[in-house]
Amino acid sequence: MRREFSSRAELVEYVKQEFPECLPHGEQVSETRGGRRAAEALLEKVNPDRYARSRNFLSGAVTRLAPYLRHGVLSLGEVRRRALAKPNHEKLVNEYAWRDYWRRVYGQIGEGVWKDREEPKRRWRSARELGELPEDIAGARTGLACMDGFVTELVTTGYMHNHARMWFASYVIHWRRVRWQAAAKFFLTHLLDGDPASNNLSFQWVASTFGAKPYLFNRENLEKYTDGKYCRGCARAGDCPFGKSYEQIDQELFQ
Amino acid sequence: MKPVVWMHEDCMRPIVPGAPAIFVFENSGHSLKRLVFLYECLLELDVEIEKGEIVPLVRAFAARHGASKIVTAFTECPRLMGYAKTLGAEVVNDDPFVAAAGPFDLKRFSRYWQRIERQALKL
Repeated sequence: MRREFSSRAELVEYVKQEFPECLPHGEQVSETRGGRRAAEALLEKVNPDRYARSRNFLSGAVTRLAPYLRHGVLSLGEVRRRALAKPNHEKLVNEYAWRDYWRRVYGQIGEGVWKDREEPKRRWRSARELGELPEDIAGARTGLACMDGFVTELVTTGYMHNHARMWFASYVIHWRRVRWQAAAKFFLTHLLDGDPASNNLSFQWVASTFGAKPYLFNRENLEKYTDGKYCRGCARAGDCPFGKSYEQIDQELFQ
Repeated sequence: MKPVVWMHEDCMRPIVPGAPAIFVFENSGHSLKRLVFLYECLLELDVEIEKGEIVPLVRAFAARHGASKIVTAFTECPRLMGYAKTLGAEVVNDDPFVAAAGPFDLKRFSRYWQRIERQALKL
């Protein structure tokens, strides 16, 4: 295949021609560039101390290294050593270890990452379980500014903040009763860092099929870590399904 | 021994300096943005880019270069390691997170972390 292109636009056109099967997933191209140069520029900026203090906030000092780690442009050994050279690196190294852990589990169970690892720890009130991702979710038309915003960013850029992935997975699995595999597949298509190990096993952690309890959140939590950017002006702010205490949500969703 | 490298999408960095390398796009289900990202990674590397079936294309590449062996990077992906086995490739575990030897108790992350923490936090 070709190696010489005069511009990124020319490369994009070539990829479209050569891989027409990808076009039904949309024609968006991420601002995130592939390659070692872009990865090193990001690696240089990693600040483990700020990461540890702010990583749960959407505006926090996250590394954005995931696509390069997922595809081995950078090795986990390399980013670990770079982190160790900077102060307060424990949390960041611990998070890198999660990626290593998911990979090792994948090595043990292979295609089993697509099956429930364990029984879900709770029973939902509603027995309905959807095998496909509903169109309003995939098309960012739920009316919930947060969830629609997360999907729009994912489809447009190939990125979703880790905390947003957890909220989204929880909403899809526990509120909408969609089988986690459907949402996992959607993520793998779009996330630049999508890989069956981290992706599927994280969905299973939220679903409680690979964890001790279902992951839930409420509006207060989401509003805090997004600095309220979705809730302000959300069309459904008045009937927000997340605007309750954890006890109320638990009672509403589970037997 | 003259090796060639089969580069796959789980390890897009050189593992044998100077050896000719090939990357093959499979029909992966990736969106356009993922394919562009991967292509950009490849354009920074000295690697021949192909699309189609991995095993016959890598074999033909090795034959063209008169290679005595095919080298590839270790990945936990069973599909890719299946191809490596079919190709009779030498598998290199290049720069793992920690060098700790298994087997590990992988029931929960906390158990795994407890086992590797000391090594992970040491240069």
